[in-house]
Amino acid sequence: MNKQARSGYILMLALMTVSVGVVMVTSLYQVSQVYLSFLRRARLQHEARAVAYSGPQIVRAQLAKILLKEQEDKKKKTESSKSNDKIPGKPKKAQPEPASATKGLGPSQELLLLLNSWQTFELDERKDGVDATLKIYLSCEQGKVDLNHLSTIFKKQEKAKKDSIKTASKQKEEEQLFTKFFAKLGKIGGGQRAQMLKALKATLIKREYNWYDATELLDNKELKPLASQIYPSAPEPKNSTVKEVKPKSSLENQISINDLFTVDTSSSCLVPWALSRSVCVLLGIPALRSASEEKLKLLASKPIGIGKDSAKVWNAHLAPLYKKKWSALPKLAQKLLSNECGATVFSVVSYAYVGGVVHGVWTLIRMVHTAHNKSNKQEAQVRFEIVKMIDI
Amino acid sequence: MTRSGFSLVEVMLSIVVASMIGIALFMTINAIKVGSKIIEKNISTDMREQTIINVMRKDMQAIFYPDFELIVKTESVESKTKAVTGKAAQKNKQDEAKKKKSYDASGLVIKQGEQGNMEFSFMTRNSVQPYGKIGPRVNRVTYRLAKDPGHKHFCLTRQELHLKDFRKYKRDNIEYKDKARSYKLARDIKTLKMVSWYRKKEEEKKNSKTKESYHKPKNTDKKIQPFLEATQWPVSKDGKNMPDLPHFIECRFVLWDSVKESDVVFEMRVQILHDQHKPKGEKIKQKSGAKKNSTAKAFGGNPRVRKVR
Repeated sequence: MNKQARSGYILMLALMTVSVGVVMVTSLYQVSQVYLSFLRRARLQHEARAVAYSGPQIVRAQLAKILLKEQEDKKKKTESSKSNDKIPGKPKKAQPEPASATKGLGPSQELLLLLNSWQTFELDERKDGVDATLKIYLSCEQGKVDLNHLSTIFKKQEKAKKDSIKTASKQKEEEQLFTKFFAKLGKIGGGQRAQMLKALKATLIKREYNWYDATELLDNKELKPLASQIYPSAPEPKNSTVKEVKPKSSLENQISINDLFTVDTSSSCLVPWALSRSVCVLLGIPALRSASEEKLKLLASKPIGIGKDSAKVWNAHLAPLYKKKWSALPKLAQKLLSNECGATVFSVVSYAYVGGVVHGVWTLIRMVHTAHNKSNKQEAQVRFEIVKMIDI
Repeated sequence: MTRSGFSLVEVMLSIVVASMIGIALFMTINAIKVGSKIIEKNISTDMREQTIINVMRKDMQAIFYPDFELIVKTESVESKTKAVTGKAAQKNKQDEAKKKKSYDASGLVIKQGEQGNMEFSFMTRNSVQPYGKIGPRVNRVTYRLAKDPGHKHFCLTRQELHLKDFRKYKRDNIEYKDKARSYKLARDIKTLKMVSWYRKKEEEKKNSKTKESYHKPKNTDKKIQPFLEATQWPVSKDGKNMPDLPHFIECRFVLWDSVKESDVVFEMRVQILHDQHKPKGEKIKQKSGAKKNSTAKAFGGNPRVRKVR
C-alpha cells in the first residue's frame, strides 16, 4: 500500500511539472503569435500605403507624357505651316497659341482613354518587390461642378429675388434651373426628394464663406443620403481577400460627392469632353469613356477644344457619343458648358491591395506654369504638382 | 524480511536529478518570462509609435487655413472717417465694412505651451472617420500632451471638433469643449517637441532681423537645407493674423519603456502640401504666364521616421 502511494506521488509531481511547462510555453507562443501578426499587419499597411502613394506619381508621368506629345504635335504643325507660308501665293493663317501653355490639356486620345476609368496594375514580388494590385481613377476637376461657383449663382439669384419683384414665370424658370439640373440627385433621397433638393439649395445659399471640401455638404442632415459615396469605389480585384461592401446600384450609375462636386477650380465652367461619371449620371448621359477606342480617337481628331461654340461643338461631335442634343440639356448645364476653360486640375483616386490590406489615397494634381524668362528666350515650362493628398 | 525506504545512494541520486530538473525548469521559466516581456514591450512601444504615426500623419497631411480668418479684428475707425470727406471717406467706410465682417482667428491658430500642458491644434481636411462613419471631413483637431492621472509620465490626447461654422468657434468656449470628444492616443510619453520648418520668404531675406522667432539650424548648408526651424507657430506682422503654414512639421517623441526602464526616441516629419496656385475668385479664362516662388513640391507625403533606441 505504501509502495503504491509513493509511486503515485512521483507521477503527480512529474505531471504537474510538465503541465506548468506546457502552460508557460503556450502563453509565450500566444504572445509571440499576436506580435507576429501585428508585425505582419504593420508591414502590409506600410506596403499598401507606399503602393497607393505611387498611383498619383504614375498619373503625373502619364499627364506629362500627354503634354509632351501635345507640344511636339503643335511644333510639327507650326513647322509645317511655316514651310507652307514660304510657298508663294498661299494665304497666311493666324497661329493659335499652344493650348497646353495657356489653357490646359486638350482632348487628346490618350487623355480621353485615361479619364474617368480605372487603370489596374498588377505588381509581382519578383519584379516589383511586392505582390499587390494598384487601381487608379483619374478625373478632371473641370469636368465637375464647382461648389463655390454654384453657391455664387444661387446667392445672386436669391438676392435678385429679394431686391426686385419678378413675374411668376420668371421665378419658375429660375427654380427650374436648379431642380432640373439636380433632378437625378434627388432620386437618391428616395421619398425625400423634394426636401433634399430644397436642403441642398438652402445650404448653398446659406454658406457665407468658401467651401473647403465637398463633404461639408453632409453637415445638413437631409443631405445624408449623399453620404453613401464620397469617392468612386473601385471594382474589386480578382484575387482580393478584402470584403468590400457592394453598392446597390452598379458602378456605372454611382454618384459620389467628390466626383460630382469640386472646390478646387474656382471656375464657372465644365469641360464638355472631361465630364465626370457622376456629372454624366446627373445629366442622364452615358460616360464618354464607355465609347469605343475608335470613336474616342475620332473625337480627339475633331475640333472639340477650348474656345469653340459649345452648342455647335456639342451637337456636331459630342451629341452622338453622349446621346443627347444640346437643347435637351438642363439650362444650368448649358450655362456651365458654354464657358471657356481648359483641363488644368486633375484628381486621382488610388487604391492599393496588399494581402488582406487595402489603402486608398485621393490626390489633387494641378498644372503649374514655372517661370519663363523672355530675355533668355526660355519657353514657359509646365509641370504637374501634387497640391492635396487625403487618405481615404 | 523486506527493506522499507530508500538507500542513501538512491536518495542522493534522486536529489541530484530533482535539483537538475528544478534548475532547468527555473531557467526555462525565466527565459519565457524575459521573452514574453520583450515581446510585450515591443508590442507596447511599436503599437504606440504606429498609432501616433498613423493618426498624426493623416491629420497633419491636410492642414489648411480658412481664408476668411486671415483678417484681424481691429478697433473701429469711425472717428477717422468723420474727419475726411469725398472719396477718402467712402474708402474708409468700405474699410470699416470690411473690418466689421472680419473674425478673430486666434482660436484656430496652432499654439504650443509648456510640457504637461502642451497644445497643438489645426484645421484639417483629413480627419479620422472611425468605424466607417461617413461625415464632413473638415474638422478642427487638437493634440494635447497632458498629465496622466496615476502615471508618472504624460499622455497624448486627440480631440476632434466638427465646426458647422468656423467663425463661431472661440478657443475657450465651454460649449465646444464639452461637445468635442477626446481620447487618449498614447501613454507614457516623456517629452514631445514639435518643430515647424519654413522656407525663407523673399521679404524675410531682406529684413531677417525682424524675425526673431526663427533661428538657423546649426551646421547646415544653405543650398542643401534652405528651411528655417521654428518651435513656435509664427504670425505674420503685416497686419494680418495669418499664420504661415510650414512646409514640414517635425515631431520628436520620447516614450518611456516601462519594461526595460529606458527611453525610446522616435521622430517623424510630415510634409504640408500647399495649394498656392489655386486661382482666387472667379476666373473663367485662366491667365497664362509665370508663377514665381513656388515652394510646394510634389511629394508622397510619407513621414520620415527615424528611431533612436
